[in-house]
Amino acid sequence: MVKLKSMKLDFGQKCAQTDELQCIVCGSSAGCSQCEFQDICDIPNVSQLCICKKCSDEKNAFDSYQKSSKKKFSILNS
Amino acid sequence: MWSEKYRPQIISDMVGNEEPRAAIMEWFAKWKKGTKPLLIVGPPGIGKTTIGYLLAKQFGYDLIGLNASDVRSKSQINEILIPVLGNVSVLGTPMIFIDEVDGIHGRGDYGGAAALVDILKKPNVPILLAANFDDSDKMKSIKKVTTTISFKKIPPRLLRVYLDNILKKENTKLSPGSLIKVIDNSRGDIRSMINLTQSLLTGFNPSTETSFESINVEDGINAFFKANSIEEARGVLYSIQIAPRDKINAFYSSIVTSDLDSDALAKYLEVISNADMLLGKIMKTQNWRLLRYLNDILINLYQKDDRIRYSKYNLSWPLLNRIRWDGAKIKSLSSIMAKKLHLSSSAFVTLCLPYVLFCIKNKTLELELEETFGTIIDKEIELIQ
Repeated sequence: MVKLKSMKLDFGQKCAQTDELQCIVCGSSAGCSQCEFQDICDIPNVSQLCICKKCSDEKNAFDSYQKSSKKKFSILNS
Repeated sequence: MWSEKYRPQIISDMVGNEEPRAAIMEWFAKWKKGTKPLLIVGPPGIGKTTIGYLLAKQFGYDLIGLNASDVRSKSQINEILIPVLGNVSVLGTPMIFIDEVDGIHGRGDYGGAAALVDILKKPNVPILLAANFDDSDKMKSIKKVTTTISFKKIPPRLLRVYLDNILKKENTKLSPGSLIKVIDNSRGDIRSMINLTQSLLTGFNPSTETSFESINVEDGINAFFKANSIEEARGVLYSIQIAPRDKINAFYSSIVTSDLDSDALAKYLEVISNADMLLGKIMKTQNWRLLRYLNDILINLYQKDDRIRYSKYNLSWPLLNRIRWDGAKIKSLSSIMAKKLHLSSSAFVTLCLPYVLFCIKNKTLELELEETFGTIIDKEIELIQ
C-alpha cells in the first residue's frame, strides 16, 4: 500500500515537471502557471527554455538572455 | 522592413531553440564526408532558413541554396546537384541547403524525391534540409537517410523580450494589449511578429484609435491612397492580410475604375503588371520565399491620390450585369451552334457569331432555335454597327 502511494506521488511530480519551462537566465522555473501568456503558450510544443518574469522585467533582458545562451551552449560562440 | 533590418547576423543572435541550434553547430563542426545530412523540421518563421545561411557564412562555406521547386524532378536534380557533388575539389567549399523540402511531394513530382534520397545517402558535401512538416510518405523516405532536428515555436514571453529589444532600438513602444495581440497572432512566427508590429506602429490611426490589424480590403485600399507618408502607406499595405492574388486584384480593380489621366493610369498599371509577374513566377516555380517582395513592388503604387477609391469589380455595373446574364445565354447558344458547325464554342463565338447575326439581320439566314434565344439574338443584332 505504501509503495503504491509513493509511486502515485512520483507520477504526479513528473506530470508537473513537463508543464514548466526553465528560465535560461537564472536557471529557476519560468513560472508558467503564473505567466501572462499562459493562455496562448503551448508548453509541450514550444522551445523548452524560456525566461522568468523577474528576468524578463530587467532592463537589458534580451542581452541577459543572449549572454546566458552563449554560456550554457558555448558552441554557439563559435 | 524590420524583419530584414533585424535579421540575425550570427547564430548566437537568434532567439529560441537553443539546444537544437547548438546541435546543428556541433553537426557542422564535426562534419566529414559521409556524415548524414541534417533535416530541420519546424513551423514557419522560427529560423530554419536563417540558420542555414548563417552556418555557411560563419563556417566560410559557399552556400548553394535550393528550394523544393528546384529539385522537383530527377532531371532538375541531375542538372543542379550532380555537377556540384561531382566537382567538390574544384568548387571550393560548397554546402547544399534545400529549403521547404516537404514541398517536393505532389503531382509535379517527377521522380525528384527518389533522386534526392539517392544523393542524400552518399553526401560528400554538408547537406542541410528544412521542412515545415515531416509526416508525408516522401518525407518519411527522406528522414530515413537524414538526421532530424526539430525546431519548435518560441515561448511567448521570450518573444516579448525579443520584441521589446527591437522596439527599444526603434525608440518606440506598443501598448501592453497590442503587444499581447501581436504575439498571439504571430503564433510563434518571429517574422510575422515583427512585420505585424511594424505595420501596427506605422498604420496606427491615433484620432480614432483604430489599428489595421484586421483591416478589410476596402478600408485598406482607401487608407493606402489617403496615407500622408510612404511609411504610413507601407504600414497599411502590410496590414491588408489577404491572399496575394486578391491583393493585386483589389488594387487593379480600384485603379481601373477610377477617373485617372492616361499618364497616371499607365504608371499604376506598370506597377500592377510587375506585381502580377512576380506572383506568376511564384505560382510557376512554387518559390514562395519571393512573396516577401510583393509589398515592396506594390508600395510603388503609393501616391496621395484622392481620385482612387476601392472598387471590388473592374467593370461598370451595367457591363457586369450584361456579362452575367447575357453571357450565359450566349454560351448556351454557342454550344448549340458549335455542334451544328463542328466547331468549338469559342471558335464559333469568335469567328462565326458576328456573321450569323448579320445574316439573321439581313434575313438571309433562318435558324431553328428555341424561342428563349430570340431576346439575346435581338440584343446582339442591335449592337451590330
